[in-house]
Amino acid sequence: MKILSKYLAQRADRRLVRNFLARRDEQTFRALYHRHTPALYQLALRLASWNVHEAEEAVQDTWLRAIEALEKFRWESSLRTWLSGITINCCRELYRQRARRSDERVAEQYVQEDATTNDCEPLDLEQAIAALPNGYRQVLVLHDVEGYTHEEISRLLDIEVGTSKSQLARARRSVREALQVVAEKSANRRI
Amino acid sequence: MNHTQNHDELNPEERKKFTALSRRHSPAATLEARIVSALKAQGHIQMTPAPPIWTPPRWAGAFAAALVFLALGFGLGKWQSGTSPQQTRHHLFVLFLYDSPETPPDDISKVAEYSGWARQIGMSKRMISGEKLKDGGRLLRQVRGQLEIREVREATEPHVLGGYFLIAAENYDDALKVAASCPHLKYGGLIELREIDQI
Repeated sequence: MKILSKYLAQRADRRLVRNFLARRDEQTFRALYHRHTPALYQLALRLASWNVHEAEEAVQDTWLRAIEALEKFRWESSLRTWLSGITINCCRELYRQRARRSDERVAEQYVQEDATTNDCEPLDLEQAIAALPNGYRQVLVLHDVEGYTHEEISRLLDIEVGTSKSQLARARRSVREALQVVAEKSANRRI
Repeated sequence: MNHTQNHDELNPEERKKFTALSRRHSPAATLEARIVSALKAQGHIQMTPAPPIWTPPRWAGAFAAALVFLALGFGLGKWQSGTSPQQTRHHLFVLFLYDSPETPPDDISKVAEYSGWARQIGMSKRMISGEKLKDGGRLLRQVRGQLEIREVREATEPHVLGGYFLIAAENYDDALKVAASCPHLKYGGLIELREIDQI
């Protein structure tokens, strides 16, 4: 069933891309935008540690670059994977710009938005992911949240498969340590 | 270092937590408009809407069975003389089509007339979409903090919104020409023409 839905999704993507390249019309672009932007934005938000402005900038740059390069896209991966790769590159460029500005606002906006949530566990996990160094966070988000394989991550991030595996192992350890600290604090409060 | 050791893998509880992570965040609504504008400015999206792949909506016949004609404010002669479509940029307009309670019985011969009109508008690259709305709408409002919901009673309302067409036109007068040519008017319907404010 999953394969069928993936196949149908890819078939729809191919049709939309073909129509868009033939007509260059706004309506077809908007259809593509609505199919993929929610997932791209979610990915960008996590890679940007919930900096809403950076995530939107990354999504905007993604579409501008993707549409410019769409004619050259050869369907060697799904359209979603290709777009995600562009989003990742945009986010990495934004990290570098941010580093130059020394303007870190880790998880600030996410915490504000979800401060009233009842179930704190996912939020703690999000905070732990957001606090990871960029390299660890990219691999962990792509593997454990987005479901990419190490081979796909290797292509997306232009790193060795072994590097992807080692980054993931270290990222998971960091997240576990962070969650352990949260759990201990929570236990102390109850005592 | 063996990276596939068990302690490096997610246990079922951890996997559950990752699965439970939120996927509900959406970008600001303005982002889409910003991207479309940028793509137009770069020439990657045409300024003029492309020829639509469009078929007349199934409800065209229903409008032919339209109701008693309520006063229309369309002064045809006025706009026919005043139109000067010099602009190249296209604007989007919505034609809201209203019925009234005295709808005559459906007449299949009028379906062809609606279809012909819609096809003609489509061929002139102006039609983008059109849909019939189902009966049984409700009006919602808040009165002193309390939500009030009222059924739209087709039998007694003077005008009932029945469907819409989304069209592209060079300017308001151009869109008015399209609206005035709709057979819905001929059979007693009312059309409200509004331009979409593309912020």
